[in-house]
Amino acid sequence: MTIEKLTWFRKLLIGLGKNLYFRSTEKVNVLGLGLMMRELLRDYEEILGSLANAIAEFESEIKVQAGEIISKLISEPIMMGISMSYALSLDITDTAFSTQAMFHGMIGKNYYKVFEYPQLIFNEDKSGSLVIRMKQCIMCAGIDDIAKESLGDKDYGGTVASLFGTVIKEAWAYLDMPYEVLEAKETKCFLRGDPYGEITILFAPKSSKSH
Amino acid sequence: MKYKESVIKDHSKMFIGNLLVKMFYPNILSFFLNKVGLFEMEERVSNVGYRVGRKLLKVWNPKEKRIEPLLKYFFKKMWDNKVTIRKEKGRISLIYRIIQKNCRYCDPEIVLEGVRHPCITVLGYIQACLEYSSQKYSLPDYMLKTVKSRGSGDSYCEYQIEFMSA
Repeated sequence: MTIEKLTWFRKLLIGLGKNLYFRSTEKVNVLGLGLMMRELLRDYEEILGSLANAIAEFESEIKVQAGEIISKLISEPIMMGISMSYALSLDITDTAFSTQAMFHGMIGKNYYKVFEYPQLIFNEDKSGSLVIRMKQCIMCAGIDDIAKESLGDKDYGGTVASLFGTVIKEAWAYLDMPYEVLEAKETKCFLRGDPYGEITILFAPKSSKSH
Repeated sequence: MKYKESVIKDHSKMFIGNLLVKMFYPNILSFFLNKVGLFEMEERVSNVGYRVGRKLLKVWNPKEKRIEPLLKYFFKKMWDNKVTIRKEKGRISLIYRIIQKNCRYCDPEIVLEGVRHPCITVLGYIQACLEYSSQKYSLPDYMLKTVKSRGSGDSYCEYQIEFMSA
């Protein structure tokens, strides 16, 4: 059942639920995950010829796989008969809260160390962006062997950006929101020398064609 | 540099939901399978585990170097997971059976054709632990293998270390 807006009481329940979810879910070490990605990319690079190609391959695999899995996660129970859709509403301004709750469910109380509260920015034409800033990057913290030149036009966190974009896209598709995700990209990256990591998800009202 | 080191230390103690791994690991295996074939795929993913395991042990730097507690420590720190380790002593060999019931790589719902043991990457992590252990203890020659995998229909995953002439 979709609701118009998240009430304070529902937000309170989501707040409790995200902690319980994190406790009960299968986990992997954050540094281990980042190193795993780096080492896999090293092998991909050997096979595909360049780091940029390796990242592109990784990203395309994510795009294929993530949509199906995330749409399942949104609609099927993940804990105590409740699905992720419990944290969603038809009010677009709730998107920042829902996104924050999802990250919290993924990384637990360390959320505050890693992420800043997501910012929802609107333009005059009702298009806008969801900006997710990271104080520490979960993908590249343990990496010291990538020169920014070797990234080419690819972003190291492009895979994660794609994933976040897919989550929002699938959530809005589930809610049948009048908005669509146009693009999800990494806009700041520690590996490129930026002081923080940032992923920007651009959205706009659905065009009459797609509506 | 100091900031980076402290972030690495932070991250070495943090956990994140395993969804990402469960989501993409089958694709990664398929990629290797298509590009380099089964044998090299097994070698490559196992090697990835070994390289990651070595780096993690360097950061964690556990004092414990005995095999059994070290492996338990590693599984707990890497996957927040408990493992059962059974020791079997034969006449010419000593076998450690490492059993995990909820492997982070195997998804019983996804069967990859031709892949005998999807979680073969875990062998690399075990190898890194053995190498770490050998800093203090001299280990006899050993053989490592995956015996069972949930991802290929077994009810749990089992890895075996066989020490020769123990």
